[in-house]
Amino acid sequence: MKEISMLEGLGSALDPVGPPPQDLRRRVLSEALQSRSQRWWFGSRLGVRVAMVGGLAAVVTAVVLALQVVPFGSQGPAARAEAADILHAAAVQASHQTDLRVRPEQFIWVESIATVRATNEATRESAVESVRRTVWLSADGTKDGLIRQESRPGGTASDIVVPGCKDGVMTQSKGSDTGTSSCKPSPAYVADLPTDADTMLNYLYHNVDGTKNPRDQEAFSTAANLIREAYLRPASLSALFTAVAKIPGVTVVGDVTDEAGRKGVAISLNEVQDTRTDLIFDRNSHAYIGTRTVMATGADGLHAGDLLYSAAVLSIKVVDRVGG
Amino acid sequence: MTAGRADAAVIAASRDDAEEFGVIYDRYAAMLYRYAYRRLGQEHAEDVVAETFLAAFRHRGRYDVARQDARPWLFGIVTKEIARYRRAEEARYRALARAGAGEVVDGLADEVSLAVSAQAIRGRLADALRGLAPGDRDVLLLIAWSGLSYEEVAETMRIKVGTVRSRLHRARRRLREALGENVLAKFFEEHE
Repeated sequence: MKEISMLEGLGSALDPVGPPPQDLRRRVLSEALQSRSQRWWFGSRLGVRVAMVGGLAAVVTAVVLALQVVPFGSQGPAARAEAADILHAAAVQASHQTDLRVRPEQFIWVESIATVRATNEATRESAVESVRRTVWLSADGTKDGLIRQESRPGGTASDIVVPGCKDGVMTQSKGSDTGTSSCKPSPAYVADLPTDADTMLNYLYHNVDGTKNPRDQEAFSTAANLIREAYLRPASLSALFTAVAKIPGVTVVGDVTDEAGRKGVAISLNEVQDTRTDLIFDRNSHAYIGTRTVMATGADGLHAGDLLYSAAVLSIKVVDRVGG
Repeated sequence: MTAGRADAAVIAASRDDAEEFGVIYDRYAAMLYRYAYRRLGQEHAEDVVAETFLAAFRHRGRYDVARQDARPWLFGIVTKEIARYRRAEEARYRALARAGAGEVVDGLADEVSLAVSAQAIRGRLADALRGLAPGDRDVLLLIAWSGLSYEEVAETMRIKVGTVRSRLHRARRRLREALGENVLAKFFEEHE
C-alpha cells in the first residue's frame, strides 16, 4: 500500500490551513432554512421549542457576567459585511417565525434575565445586579400591565404595575394614594409596523432629529427598543433586521456567550456616550436572543468591555391575563 | 444535549425541526471541506461543501435511518458535487505536476534535495491522478483521504465491494507505473 501512504502525504500537503470559513455555516443553514417548505415550520414544533427554551433557562442559576467575546475582525468593510451577513440570516430566521394573532385585550409576555450595573453616586463604586424579569405588557396599551423582577439567584420578587391608559386616563397608585392623569396609550403590540426594509429604515429614522444623539445612533436605538421586550410580526421583524444592516456604523462584534449560557454572535454600534450597544443572535438558529450595552472605552473606573446593561430574552408569548 | 446521538437520529429529527440539521453540519463540515479542498483547492471547496449540505438537506427525507453513520451518504454527495468540477480538479493536478517538475531541476544541496525529491514525487503523483478514469480516482481518493473502509466506499459509490477492489487495483497500478518502482523504493528509504 505504498501508493496509498504516498497519497496520504500528498493529501496532507494539500490541506487547507484551517477549518471551513465561519460564514459558510451561516450560508448553508440560512439557505437550507429558506428552501424548506413553510409547512414544516408552522407545525407544533415551534411551541415545543419555545417551551423547551424556558425549561432550560430555569435550570440556569449561575450568573455569567464574564461575557466572553471572541472578536472576529474589528472594523472596516469586512466587519461591516460580516454584520450584514448576521443580520441577513436573522431576517431570514425572523421571516419564518410564527405569525401570532394578537388581540387588543391580550398581553405580550416576555421572560428574560437582565443584568444592570448600579453605581453609587457618592463612592463611585459600582456593582452589577442580576434579575429574572417577567413582563406582561398590554397589547393595545389600555390595560394595566405588570413587571415582575426577582433578584438572582433565587431572591425576592417585586411587582411593578404598568398603568394602562383607558379613554385617555391613567390611574396610578402609590401606597394609599391614587391619582389620575391624562395619557395616550402605549401599545406593546403594533400590528402595522412596516414590513419591507426600506419603509422600516425610514421608520427608524423618522424621529432621529429630536435628540442631540447622532442620527444613526438614534435609529439604531429605536430598532433596539422595538425588539427589546416585544413581539413583532415575522415580516416586520425580518424587515427590521434588514434595515439595521443599512445603518452606517453597524459592525460585527464576534462570538459571544450570553447570560443564559447561549452561544451567540453580536453586531453593534458605538455610541457617543462612550458605550457600545450590541444586538445578540443565536449562533445556530440566528434568532434574536438579547441585547447589552458595554463600555466602549474606559471611564469612571470602568474599563472597555465592562457591562452596563444586558438582557437575555428567554421566551415570548401572547397571553390573556396578567400574573400567574 | 445532542452529543452521542447517531447521525440517523439527528437526520430523522431534522425532518420535523430543520434546525437540527445544523448538528450534521457541525459534525462533518470540516471533514468534507478538507476532502474537497484537497481535490479542488479553496476556490471551489466552499461551494462544493455548501452544495453538498444543501443537497443533503433537501434529500434528508429519503435518508435510510438504518444507516447510523452519515459519512458514506455525505461522501457520496460530495463526490457527485466534485465531479462537476472535473476540469478544475485536473487543472489543479497539472499545476502540482509542473511545480514538482520545476523542483527536480533545482536539486541543490543534500538536505534540500531530500525535500525536493518529496516535492517531485508529489508532482508525479498529481500527474498520475490527473490521468485516472474519474470512477477510479473517486475510489482511490476515498480510500486514501476519507478514512472510509472498503465497504463504506462501496456504499458511498453505490457499487459492489468487488468493484471497489478492482478500481483500486487499477488505480494503484497506474500510480506505480507513473512513479516507477525505483522512485517508490527511494522514497521509502528516505522517509521511513
